[in-house]
Amino acid sequence: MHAERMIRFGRIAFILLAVAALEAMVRGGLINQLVLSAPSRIALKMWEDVLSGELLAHLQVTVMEFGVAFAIALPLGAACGILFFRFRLLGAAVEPLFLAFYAAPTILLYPVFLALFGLGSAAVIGMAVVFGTIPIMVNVSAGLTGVERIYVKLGHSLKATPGQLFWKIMLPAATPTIFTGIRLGFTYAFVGVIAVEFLLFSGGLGRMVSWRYFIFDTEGIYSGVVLIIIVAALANSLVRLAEDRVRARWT
Amino acid sequence: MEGHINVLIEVRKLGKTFEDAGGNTGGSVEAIRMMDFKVREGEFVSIVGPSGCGKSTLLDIIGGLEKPSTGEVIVEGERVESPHPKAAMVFQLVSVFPWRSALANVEFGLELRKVPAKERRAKALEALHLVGLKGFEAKYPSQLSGGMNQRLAIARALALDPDILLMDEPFGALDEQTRFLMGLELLRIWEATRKTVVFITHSIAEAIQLSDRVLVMSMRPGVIREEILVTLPRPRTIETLTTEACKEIEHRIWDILKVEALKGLTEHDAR
Repeated sequence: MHAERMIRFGRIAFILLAVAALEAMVRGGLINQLVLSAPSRIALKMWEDVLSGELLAHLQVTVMEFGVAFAIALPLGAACGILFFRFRLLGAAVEPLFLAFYAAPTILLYPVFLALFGLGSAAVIGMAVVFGTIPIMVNVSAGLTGVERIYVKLGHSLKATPGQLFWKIMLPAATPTIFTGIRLGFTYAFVGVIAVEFLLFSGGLGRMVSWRYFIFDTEGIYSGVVLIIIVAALANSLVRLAEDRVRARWT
Repeated sequence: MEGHINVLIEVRKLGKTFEDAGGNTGGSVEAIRMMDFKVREGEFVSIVGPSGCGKSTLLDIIGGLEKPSTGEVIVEGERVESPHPKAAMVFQLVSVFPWRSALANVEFGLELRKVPAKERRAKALEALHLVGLKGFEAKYPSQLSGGMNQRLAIARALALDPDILLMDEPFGALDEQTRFLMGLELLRIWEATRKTVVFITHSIAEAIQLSDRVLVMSMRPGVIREEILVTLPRPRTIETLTTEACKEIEHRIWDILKVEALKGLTEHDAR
């Protein structure tokens, strides 16, 4: 308990020190104001963004795009994962291709989505669906494949129907792994939304930052970036909380 | 003694060959060959043998999880084609579900059989109490010891009110002391319920501690080398298990097993 408190204290101290150092360096002229704004001025700008409603307007677009993308990615990823599990040969043939997604800069495919869906939200959603679906698909398949064989054997000895086997044994047994996939899919879909927004002109938090970048509004850029990080961190910790509760039960 | 009325399980000319067993063995593997034995109602029969002798395969066939290549198994007068509703299995590996509470684990089999919730709960509680887990209903497997989890698995089987318990090294993963105590527990449960038990183990001491009869299996392909009656009085205690009579039985089984285990070793070396 004591060590934990020390660690937390150290972390906060580090952040405060880093912020103070930046503030000093920018004010002292060590860093050009065009490269980095003073943290105090970024904070002020963030406050302005919140009050003016600009943040809210862009946030709404981002949340909508993310929501639609994730609502598609979740069932799509689950269905593909189940398919790959059910038809092992298909999975073995195709899955490694999708795993390459983790290593490849998939974002470079965005022109394809612009061509397919135009320059609006649809392209953002399309790309984010790809980002979100793959980790869910891979983990659903891995989770189901990794279910302890003894559980299945037990199910057979109790004459479980295929439906009972899936809903009462396979799915709950695979839940921790599936949840990891959902968390990753959630994060990746969010990153996808922001990234494609940044590249287009259709609004959203990504666009807010790219526009400010375009007009040399340095404070604005950093305000936007920090706000995005805060939104992402909040969303992620919510998902993690849910995942931790599941894991606590399962292991 | 051989009265056919109370014979509950009959294994007839049973053989099992796994075609294309895969791995480095390449071709097929003959797991068991021409097995014949009977188990009477209320009897506790252990099957011991060296590792890889096909004990588990035998139990899986009796439990209806595997199809025999030759011969047949008759349970309660019917040929076994699929898991018999009056036979419940208990496995060596931890097969309780970590996502279900102790009570919900015990209810599982009844749930699959669509027993109404109220009745299910009552039967599960009864089974939990029988295995000595009263007060642990709401606990999860991760909060219980290895021995308690195996009790839970036994309770899950008992809740189905089976006539037959098919146990595949249920205490194999436990340490020696826990294992011995679990053996005593199982005997207590068995004496209270008088289920017919077929018990697979590789521990000679455990087989003697528990059984009316011990079937000693050979190395693969498994056949029954010898049938040994355990004439020790019941209830069995640490005292009965340290008598000369007990030692003698242990020696007899060892003598048979030694030869078989050595065969297994040389076979491994030859590979």
